Amino acid sequence: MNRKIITAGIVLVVAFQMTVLFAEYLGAVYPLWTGKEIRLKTTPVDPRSLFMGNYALLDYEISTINGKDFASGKIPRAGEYVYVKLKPGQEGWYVFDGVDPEKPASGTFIRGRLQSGHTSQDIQRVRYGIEAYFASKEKATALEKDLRKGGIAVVMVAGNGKAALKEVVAKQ
Amino acid sequence: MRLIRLLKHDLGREISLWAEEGVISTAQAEEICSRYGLDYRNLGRRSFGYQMLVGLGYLFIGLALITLIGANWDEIPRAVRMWGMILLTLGANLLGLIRFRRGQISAAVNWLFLGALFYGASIMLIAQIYHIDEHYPDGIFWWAMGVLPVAILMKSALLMLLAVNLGFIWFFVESFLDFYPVVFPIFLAAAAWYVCRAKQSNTLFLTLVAGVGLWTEYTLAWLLSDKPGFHVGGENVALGVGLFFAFDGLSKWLAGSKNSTSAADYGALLGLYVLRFTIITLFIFSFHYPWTAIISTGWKMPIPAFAISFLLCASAVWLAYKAEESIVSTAVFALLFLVGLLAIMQVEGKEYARSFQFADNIVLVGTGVWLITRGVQSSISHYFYLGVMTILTTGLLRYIDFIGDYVGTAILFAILAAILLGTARYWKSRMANTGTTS
Repeated sequence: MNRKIITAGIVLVVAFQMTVLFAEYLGAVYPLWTGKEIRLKTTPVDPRSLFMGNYALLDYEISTINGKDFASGKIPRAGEYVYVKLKPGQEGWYVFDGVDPEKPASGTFIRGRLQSGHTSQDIQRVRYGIEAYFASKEKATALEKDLRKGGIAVVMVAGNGKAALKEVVAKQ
Repeated sequence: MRLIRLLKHDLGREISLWAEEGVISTAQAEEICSRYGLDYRNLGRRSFGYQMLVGLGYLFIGLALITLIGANWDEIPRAVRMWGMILLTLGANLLGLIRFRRGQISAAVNWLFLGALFYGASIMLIAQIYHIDEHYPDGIFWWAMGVLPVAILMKSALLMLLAVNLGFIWFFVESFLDFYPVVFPIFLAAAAWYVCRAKQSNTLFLTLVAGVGLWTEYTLAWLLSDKPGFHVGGENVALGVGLFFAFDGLSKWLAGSKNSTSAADYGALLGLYVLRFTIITLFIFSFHYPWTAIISTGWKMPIPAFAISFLLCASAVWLAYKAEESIVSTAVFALLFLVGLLAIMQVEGKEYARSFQFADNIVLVGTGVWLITRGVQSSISHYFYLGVMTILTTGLLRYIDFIGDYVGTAILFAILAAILLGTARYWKSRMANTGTTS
């Protein structure tokens, strides 16, 4: 390979790297820019990511669903998208209102992936990509202490159901 | 398989001393060196150590940055953190490009390596800033895919090792979450291209072999599973042993290469590791539990498993035949394995596990005897010592972990003694017939 081709190749690869970074950035911010704000009940614990440092791991009420709640009666395979329908609850946060493998035509819903390793057909775990709240070690520990009695996650949900975590506050 | 090929740089230093002391002529020294792919004139100018230290230095700069990101500095605004990392990535790559244009290839590789680390750190930082927790293996995958083309363009072992190792990390985390890493062969193909077409790298060669084995095993486990995920069955053991045979045949064929010193080096290296892992595997199966586990697991695809094992063994014998090296021993061990595989596929009760355990211990000692005789006959010292170590360790393990009860172990020890003494007697008579005195 001559020098010109390698130079052009490296420029293209760096352009590819920048595209990946901007795609990641845009994927993260578009629910924040275009989404609807909802509040979800959550409980944090604080592990540490090898790559990204300390974070509070957030467990939501809607993280565990019942397999019987699938409208079609058929549970999708692990790793596939599911859409959890939400409705405003009496206590000020959104609560579970059904689940479907297909994107609902209307209403408030959040997109997640069905997890493997569930113990029975009745208990299914769903991840929405908003389970980690990254913070410094001190802040993550303080957050866990403040939210011991439960917290509220402020989440932005885009039109396609993709969610972004905005902040976590103590339950009033 | 002689280890001298793996110590050829030490040999080179010895040869240059012999030439300096007049034991051999310079022309002879050059000829000996060329047989091992060494450049006699540049023996003292190896920059490998220097390059390794610089590469490690840059690695620690990258690790320092990743640790800083882990500290999660809320005091610095999001935009400053993100754009700072992106500019660092761009800057390191740009400096690499400038050095490359100036013809400073080593410096260019080091800057591009740093750029690759900054690129990975940027992916993590953006995920951290925006609390992204959706299928984290994707981040590692895109990191690896962003480094791989640079490694190919620069033909750099350092960058290729980074890309392939990231590929391995992605492979493990993806499969840990019960996803099948479909495109992992891209990384294997890149490593294969590098070791065959670009430059010699023993580390990448071993990584490639390990990757081929792992990917094949995981693919079979994926096919064996009834639901999305991996199911490890007896078929995986059959495939694993079959692969060892094929790799052993490949090592003989490569080691016999007359035209390529790199191929001969790869062959010696592969032969050494196949032998070590074979002995370790035989030791694992010298215990009772692995056999009960195989028998109780059952067989979902017995016929394809046997067919694949047969083909792998046949390829091993064919490669040994092409290399004109250990044809009989390869065929005998392959036959033993295939007969054993057929037998274990037929049995259903766990009570048969003891018989297979007994047979494995006999094979272990047989392998030890074979290594000792080959070691002495062909003057291959590491075969000799590995054989002695195998027999002694078998005796020690069986003394601690009985087969059955005291009587069962005593019978085993008596059989092992008969094998060892019988071999010694045969050897003595053979030496007497050929007039050998050693």
